[in-house]
Amino acid sequence: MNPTSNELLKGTLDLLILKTVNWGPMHGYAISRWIREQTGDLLAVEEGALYPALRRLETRGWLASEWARSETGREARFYTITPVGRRRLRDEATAWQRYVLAMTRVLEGPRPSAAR
Amino acid sequence: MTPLSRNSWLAGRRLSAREDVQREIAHHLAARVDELVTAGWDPVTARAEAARVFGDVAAVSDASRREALRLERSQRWREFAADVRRDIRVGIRGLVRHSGFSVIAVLTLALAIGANTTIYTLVHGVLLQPLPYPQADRLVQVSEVDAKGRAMSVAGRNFLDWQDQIHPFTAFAVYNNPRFMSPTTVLGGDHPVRVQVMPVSREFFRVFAVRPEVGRVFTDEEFAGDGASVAVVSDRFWRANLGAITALGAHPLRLFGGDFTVVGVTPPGFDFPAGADVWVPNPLAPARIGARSSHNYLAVGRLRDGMTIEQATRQLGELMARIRSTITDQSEAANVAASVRVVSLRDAMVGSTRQPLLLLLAAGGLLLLIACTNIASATLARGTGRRLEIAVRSAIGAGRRRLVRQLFIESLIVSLLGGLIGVGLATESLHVVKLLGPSSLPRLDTVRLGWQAAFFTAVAIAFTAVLFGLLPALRIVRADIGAVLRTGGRGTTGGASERIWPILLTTQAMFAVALLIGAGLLLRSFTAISRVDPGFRSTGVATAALELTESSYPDDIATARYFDQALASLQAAPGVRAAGVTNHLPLGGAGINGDFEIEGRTQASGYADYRVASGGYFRAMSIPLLQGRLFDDRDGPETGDVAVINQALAERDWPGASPVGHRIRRLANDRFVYGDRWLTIVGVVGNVRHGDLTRVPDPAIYVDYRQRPFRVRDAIIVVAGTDPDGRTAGLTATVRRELAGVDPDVPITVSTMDTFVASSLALRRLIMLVMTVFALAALILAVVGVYGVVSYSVVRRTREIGIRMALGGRTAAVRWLMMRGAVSAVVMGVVLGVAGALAATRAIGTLLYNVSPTDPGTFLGVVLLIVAAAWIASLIPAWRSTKVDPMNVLRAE
Repeated sequence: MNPTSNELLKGTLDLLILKTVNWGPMHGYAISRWIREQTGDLLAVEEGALYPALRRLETRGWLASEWARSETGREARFYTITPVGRRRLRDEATAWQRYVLAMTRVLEGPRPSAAR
Repeated sequence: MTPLSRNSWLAGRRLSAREDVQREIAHHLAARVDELVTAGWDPVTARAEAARVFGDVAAVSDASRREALRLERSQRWREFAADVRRDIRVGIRGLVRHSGFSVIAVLTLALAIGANTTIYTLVHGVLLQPLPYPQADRLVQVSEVDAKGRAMSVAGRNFLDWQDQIHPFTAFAVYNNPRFMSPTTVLGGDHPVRVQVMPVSREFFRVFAVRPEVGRVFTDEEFAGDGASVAVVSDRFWRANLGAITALGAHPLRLFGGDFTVVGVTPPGFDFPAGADVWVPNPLAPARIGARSSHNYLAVGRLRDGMTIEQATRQLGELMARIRSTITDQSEAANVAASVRVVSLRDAMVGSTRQPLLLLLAAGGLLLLIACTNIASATLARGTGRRLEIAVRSAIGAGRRRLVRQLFIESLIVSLLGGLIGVGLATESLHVVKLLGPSSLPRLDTVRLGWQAAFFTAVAIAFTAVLFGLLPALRIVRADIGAVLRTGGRGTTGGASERIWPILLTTQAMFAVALLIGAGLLLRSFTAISRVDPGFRSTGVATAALELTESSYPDDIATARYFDQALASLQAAPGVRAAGVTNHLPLGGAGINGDFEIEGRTQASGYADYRVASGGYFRAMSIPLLQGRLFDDRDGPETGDVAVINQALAERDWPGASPVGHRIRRLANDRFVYGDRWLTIVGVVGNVRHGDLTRVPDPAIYVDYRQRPFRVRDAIIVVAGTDPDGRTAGLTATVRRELAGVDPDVPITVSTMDTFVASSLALRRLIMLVMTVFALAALILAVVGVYGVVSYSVVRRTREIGIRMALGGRTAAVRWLMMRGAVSAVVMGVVLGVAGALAATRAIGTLLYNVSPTDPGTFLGVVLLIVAAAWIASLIPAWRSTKVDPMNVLRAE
């Protein structure tokens, strides 16, 4: 459960998923749990957004998937990141950091000088 | 994660998208339940909690499924694209291997598609394309119609009344007949140039809704009096000769002996009519515009919204009837137009070319069909040679659809190559057609290969690919695989597929016959026309059209004196063989005509054309004198009235006798002033063709200009030169000089008779040439087709031939056996083609002159030609086949 629910933009969701899957093959539930744990429950991906997003990323060629047996012995669909996906992850992460930097500057910047 | 073992039911099984998503979501829920249970929840509440947290399962599963489907689709596309790429590679390899077939197929298609693209571009540019003016479908051309139903140009006086009294048009204007105009020297630009200068009436630019690029068009005030000395120029002229300056007034033009200030430039592409580059105002001053029977102008109008052509025609007709009833001068009334014709401007410009062009389009289509059937039979022949290959591939698992697709792609490649080369050929051909000059087709300068032509070509390519690729491919693939594999591909095929060859040959022969008959008829027609004696010789004859205004030449004496002087000085000038004057040139369309009375006969005779001429006219035009004499110095205003008639009239009214010495009177036009004076016939001259070389010459009466001077106020002087090669450049200069010497203020327009004559034949020549090319191509294709089919069949039946020969069959009999199928198929095609041609005679009938559309000579000739060609084409391979040593054949088994 998350105390604050933030609306996630589609692009940031993609970024989260790609980064998560970058660590290794994961199935959908594991991705959702990992994000929850990593952000300390600040962000929780709504399942309704996760699965369509996973398919979308697969269509774009950034993820590949196959059915395999999970550690619990169940059959699950595992996702892995593709080389193209890795490039995309790198680009998106850089763009995100720049965005954050810019926002920070504005939010914490000095008072603008009085109009002349 | 561990990969799934072989035994897992999921491995290797393709799940539907729905199942896939459901299982994935099920796993998610199960995993969460596990987590909750581990944290201490009991299973039932854990499941409820998991479901609650998850959200709307159905919605999620739908969204995921849609994405999954999208993924599937894109994967399928990628596979398809890869397949097609592979098929293309294989296809190209195959075509390179069988390069003989490929080259012939591509070239054949290139010719057929190129021809069709050319014709279609012409049809589009000339017939279909709307005129380049705003709302061009509202533009119409108005002409007067004589008693015989022939269209004539409009008389200025009538136009003025139309303009005043009825208003079916928002703008209505006249311009001079371009046939009587020749380039005028214009000074004042960078250098002197000769361009078409066109006097136009007040509303001319309004009719075409011309918005000037620079400056303005004429104002109404500039049409007052004698008309202001201002000019509007074309964009072309402005750029080439005025340096595209914006200060137009700085460079006046010098033409007609005066200075004209340029006030405006028309937008690029506007050069109506006939390539005009400079327009000047024609105020249509009453003193200058001549009688109601002086048909000097062409009229164009823009129909009012809601006004139809029929309504406008009716209004104009009623007005003309009213006008005619107000004319008291009986002779003049007889020569006012009987009625009025209104046609859309586009039809007026191109209507006469519609039928010939559509005929060519049909011919092109037939040629394309022949080409396709040719290639189809060649493809089938190749296909049966590949039966083994196809059977093997089919047995391995290539689906029928894939095989057909591969064969179809091969044919598509051939079609595409052929189409591309064809477009190149079309571009070249269009250049050639444009070189033949604007007299062959109107609007030729606006014809260009546009996207419509490209689209048409693409359709043609697809059509041919389907016709000769898909259909044979379907046949090839349907063969019985098992049988083919067993016989190693060498066995003979079943009877069904053998039936296709005769059908193909018959079809080809049918189309070829149709084309050849059409071309043959046109050829004979054209030969007949070009042999028609127009009755005069136009080479080396210059013309000068002029008009003597009443203000400068108030009476008959002055008029007659002008021509006396002009003709005398021209006759005396160097380089001149003869000089004369007439009020109406041959091939100048309809003229004045009417009935008359013969002395001693009770009823009035029939119609005859009424012409005014001088003796020198007949000599200049080389019109032969058949009986009696021409007008000469004996005839004048004081002596008895004389007339010269043409042979047609002499034969009609004096059959078997000589009309010389007989008297006639009350000629049309003469009635009011000279009605009671008898004219003595002094001579008979040869007939002269008027409208069109294909029309029978009408009877005509000529009177001497000195006795009817008012008739030559508006006349044409003809001057024959002495240059043996018929060059007229020096002659036209002489004409201008001499006439300027008599009276420099009389505006004249100088041209040559050859210009008149050439345009009437140009279109026919073009059509005939194109049809002939098509027909020859069709013949060659058909011959090649027959040869191919028989060769192929001979190769296939080598064994049979060997056996027959070994069993003692006679060479000739075996040969005939091989030929029989092909020849009888061709004969069948010929019969069908002839039947078709007989049924379609109306399509070509109006284009023929002096040749019946069922002309037996042509039909017979074509039939013999094709049968003979087919015979020889099948004889060669059949003959070669009997040269085979039967023992070799049998041993090879």
